This record gives sequence, structure tokens and C-alpha cells, in this order.
Amino acid sequence: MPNLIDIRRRIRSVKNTQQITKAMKMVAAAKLRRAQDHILATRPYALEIRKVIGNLASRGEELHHPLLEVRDEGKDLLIVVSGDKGLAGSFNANVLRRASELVDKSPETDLLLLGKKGADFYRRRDVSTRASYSSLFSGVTYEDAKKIADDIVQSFARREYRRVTVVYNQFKSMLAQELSEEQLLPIEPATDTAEVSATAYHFEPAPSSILGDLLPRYLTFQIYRVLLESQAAEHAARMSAMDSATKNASEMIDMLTLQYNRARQAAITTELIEVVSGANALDG
Amino acid sequence: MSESTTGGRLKLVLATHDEKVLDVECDQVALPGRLGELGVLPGHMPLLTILSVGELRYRDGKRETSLAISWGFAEVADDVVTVLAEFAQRPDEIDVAGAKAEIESAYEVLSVGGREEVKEALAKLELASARIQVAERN
Repeated sequence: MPNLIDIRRRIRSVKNTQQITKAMKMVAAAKLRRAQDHILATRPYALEIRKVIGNLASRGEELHHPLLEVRDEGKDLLIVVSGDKGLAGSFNANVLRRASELVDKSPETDLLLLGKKGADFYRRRDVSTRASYSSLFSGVTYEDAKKIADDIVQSFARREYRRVTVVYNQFKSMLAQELSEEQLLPIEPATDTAEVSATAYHFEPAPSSILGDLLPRYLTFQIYRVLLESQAAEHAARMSAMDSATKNASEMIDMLTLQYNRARQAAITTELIEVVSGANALDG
Repeated sequence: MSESTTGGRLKLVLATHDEKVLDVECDQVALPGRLGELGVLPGHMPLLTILSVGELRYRDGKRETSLAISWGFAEVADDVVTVLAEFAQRPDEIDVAGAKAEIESAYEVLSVGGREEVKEALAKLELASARIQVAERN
């Protein structure tokens, strides 16, 4: 027979937990809205810069730039974008699992870890890490992206790496995140899309010089975009995780309340029987 | 540069990585090109160019508006001027005192800093001066 006070105490504790998960869900929802707006705001820039690079690349002539160079020798660099915090369902686990699979497949890989969870995960594992950044997601800034991109551009230009890939959670909708893998370097311009117009442009300065200015910024922007996507996905994942946690807590409270009432009734019944049988004994 | 005989108008779109700053119709745009100011009128030939730090001006009828931008990229095609900038600020958003303070501190770095620091300070100096110029014009 469960003790009444114990059950009451458990109900109270579950209620407290539920309040926390409910609050976290609300906070995540608010942050998600902002993150979503942020992503939308980057769209015009994204479209235009892709179009311009496609235009440059589709001019037929050979363009040379270190960031376009396809080569065979060198290591791979894998950028792993996780979150700074947990309690977001499978958000961190998914991305880290995929990263480990990729590292197993090609052991000649350096990791660049964005987000505290990734840094913690690989701290005690035997992988070579180029760098890790751990408090990006309290507010993603373009400056952060620039710092990361500058480092990558330099090391790629020094021929340390032959390929730079990023693995992150892409924001699909409020309910869905998709694990996504993209090659950042060498840059593969979109020459075949409809976005590329056939206009014959006048270039000032020369195309190669424009490219030299444009490509590093394109990479910075790509990283910025990935950070924003991952941030939005994290909030969405946390929102649904906390939503189901809140629901689970409700169910648990219902169950415990039922148990509590049964126990209470049983106790009353026992007491009644005692009283009645006591009275009977006196009568007899 | 050739002026269009149809007397068309330009569409000017200015976007930074964080927002679409402008999407307006106008008669004339002046861009801060690498090699000096670049004027664009309707009917301009298709052009791709890199912009430097400075002042972007556009004229709509008699009204002229200017903005401070830093590192930009401009595309002119079919009377649409698209500008991508790393930074863009309207005159009423510019904090002149702050810009002046930035100039002061940049000058300090110039006299003592190393090569990288000087480069950074020069960029800051340029941007702050452009911001002040824009703010004072309006």
C-alpha cells in the first residue's frame, strides 16, 4: 500500500517538472519565431550572391581561384554544427552520430566543432580537432561566421584540406528538422540553374578580381546561413521535445492522482471498518 | 553610360545579410565604386562591380537620399540595380558621436598597432568617415 504522503510528494515534483518543461517550450517557441524571421531576412542576399557567382562561372572562360580548386591530396575538414544546450530531443545526437559515421569512413578528417555539445562529445575521443567554438548560439552574429570562415579560407588556400564539408540540422518546419550534409569548399558554382541569366555583363574590375573578393564572402555567408538554420532547428527540436515532455508529465500526474485517490479511499475504508468493528465489540 | 530614350525608371534593391534595406524606384543611383563614384541612369549597360566603403545615393524626382555602406557588390541589369552590402545604414540610424569616437580610437591604433591592427583600424576609419559624411549631408 503506497504511502499517501509519498504520492502527494511525487505529484508535486512532477508538477514542478511540468512547469519547467512548459516554460522551456514557450521560450523555445518565441526564440524560434525570431530565428525564423532571421533566416527569411537573409534570403534576398542569398539569392543574389548565388546568381552573381553563377553568372561569373558560366562565362565559359576558366576562372582560377584557390577556393574553386578541386584537388585530390590533403585531408578533409568536417564542420559539425551541434547546439550549446541539451534537452532538445535527438537534435544533438543525430548530428554527432552522423559525424562519427563520416569520420569512421574517412579517418583522414579534421573536425571543426561549432556548439558546446559537439565540443564536449569529442573532448575525450580520439579525433583530430581543428578548433571548437562553444558559445555561438546565444546570438548568432555575422562576425562569428566571419571569424570561422577566415580561418577555413586560409587553411584551404594553404592546401591543408582538399574538401570542407558541413553537417548540420536543417530547419524544415516547426515539426521537422533534416540532417543535412553540404560541401562548402571547393565552391561549386550553380551554372545550370535557371537563376543564371544570359546577360553579357561588363565587369569592373576583371572577373577574376571580382571573384577573389566575392568567394570568401560567399563562404562567410554560407556559414552564417548554416548557423542560423541550425539555431532555428534547435529551437524547433526543443519545442517539440518539451511539448511531449509536458504531455508525459500530464499523463503521469493523472495516473498518480488516481493512485492517490484509491489509496485515500482504502485508508478511509480501513478506518471505517475499524470504527464499526470497535463499536460492535463494545455492543457485544 | 547611355540614357534611355523611354525615360524609364530604375529599381534599386539593397540587401545586407540581415535584411532587405531598400526596394525602391528611383531616377538615378550613385554608387561608391572602387575607382570613384559610379553613376547609374536608366538604360545603363549590364554591369557587375565591386563597391568600396562610402556613400550610396539615389534620387527620386527631386528627393535625394543617401546611405552609408561598406563592402558592396552591385549588379546592374535591365534597369534593376541590386546592391549587396556587408553593412548599410540610413542617415537617421547613424550615431555621429559614436562614429567620431571610433575615428579617435582608430587614430590611436594607427600610431602604435601592428600591421593587421592598422589594416583593421583603417577600415574602421573609412567606414566611420563615410557614416559621418552621410549623416551630415542629410
